[in-house]
Order: sequence, then C-alpha cells, then structure tokens
Amino acid sequence: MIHLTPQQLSSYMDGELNEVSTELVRRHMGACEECTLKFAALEEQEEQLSHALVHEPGDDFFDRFAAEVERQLPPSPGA
Amino acid sequence: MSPQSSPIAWMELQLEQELVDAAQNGDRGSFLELVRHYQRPVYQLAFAMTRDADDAASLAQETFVRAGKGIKDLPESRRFFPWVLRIARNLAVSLGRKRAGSRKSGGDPLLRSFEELRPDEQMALALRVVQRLKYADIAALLDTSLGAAMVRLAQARALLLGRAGSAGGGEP
Repeated sequence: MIHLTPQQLSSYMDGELNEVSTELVRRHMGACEECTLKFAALEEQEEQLSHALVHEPGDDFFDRFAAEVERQLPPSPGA
Repeated sequence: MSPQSSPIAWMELQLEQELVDAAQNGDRGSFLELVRHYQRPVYQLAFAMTRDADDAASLAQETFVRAGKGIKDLPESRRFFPWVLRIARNLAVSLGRKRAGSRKSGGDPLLRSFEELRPDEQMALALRVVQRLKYADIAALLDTSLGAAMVRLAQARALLLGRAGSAGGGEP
C-alpha cells in the first residue's frame, strides 16, 4: 500500500488541502492503520508544542513595551 | 486545553504605508504605533525561538530598536512585519549560538529536537503553532512560496516526530 506523505498528513492537519485531496486522505486513513497512527502522533506532538512554545507575559508587559523601545532609540531628528 | 494566541492581525496596508513613510521621515510616534501593533506577535515568536521569557523580552526589544534605527532601509515594496520578523530571526540565531552550551529544553526530547531544527523550520512551525497562521501568511512572512512553506512545515514536523520518537523510545 502506498502511504500518505508527510506533506499530506501535515497539510491535512492544518486544513490546508483542497476538497479532493482532503477526501483522499480521509479515505486512505479509514483503511490504513499505519497512517492513522502516524497522524495521531502528529496531532499529539502539535498539542505538546502548543504548550511548550506559547508564553503570554501579560498586558502590563505590553503596556510598557513601546516606551522601553523608545528609551533605547537615539533621539529622533525632529525631537 | 492548549494555550491559545490570537493570529497576527495585519495592519491595514494603507495605514501601515503611511506610518512607515512618516517613521522614515523621523516621526517617532508613527514608528511606535507600528511597534504597538506588532509587539505581541514578535514577543511570542521570540519566546518560541528562545523558550525563555527574559531572552524573549530582550530579543523582542532589540528587534524593534534595530528596526527603529534602520527603518529608512525598509524598501517601499516590503511590508513592515516580515521585515521585522527577519530581524528577530537573525537575532534569535545569534542568541542560539551564544546559548549553545546552555539550552532551555531540559530533558524534553521534543524541545531538544525543536532546537535542532534550522531557524527557518523553527520559525515556520512557530508561526503555525503559536500564531495559527494559514500557509499563505506563513509564506508571505518567510518570503517564500506557498508550496515551499508547506514543505518546510511538513519536514519540520516529520523530523521532530522521528527524533523525539527515537530519543524517547529507548531506555526505560
């Protein structure tokens, strides 16, 4: 059996395949345990990454951010 | 439930062009308006590239300081955010080299594998995972084609799956 490519699995997970390709992937996974398991692993990995790579420092941080950038810039010519 | 972040809201093109034009003519207020609009996604991407809140804060600040100093170099045809993102990416690469001996991943095989990806693969994955961007936006931000962005993302994910799987599948 020809298995799904990493691009097909990745793009399917992101909802970036067209209708025809989406249907092909769905049908294949219905009949292929190996690709179904690989897709589940990909989804789990994505979930773990979304926890590990995301950080929200809070509104206070962003309220002060631009002022801090300005403090580090040389005076503007018009100032 | 996974932490959610808002997708990058691109500034309306005409407004951005007006602000960039004014900033290039020395209007600091216009530049700071651009900073306020893009500060959150730049910080979030800096965090994804460094996995450290202090490093991410410094990197995001330095990105905009360099952008402020070099705003005159931004070509008229280029949008502000991809240009700023390129500055952030280059700073993250430099920082990564300096920090090579003291990675932030700890014992997490997935994060260790993420750190081993090429910077553009890390960036593509961060834009998708952190910002939930569509491929067309990722391609625009990475200054590449839609097909190339798709391949880069798929390769990065497959590499992570392979490396993390082999790292975690051995000793008990």
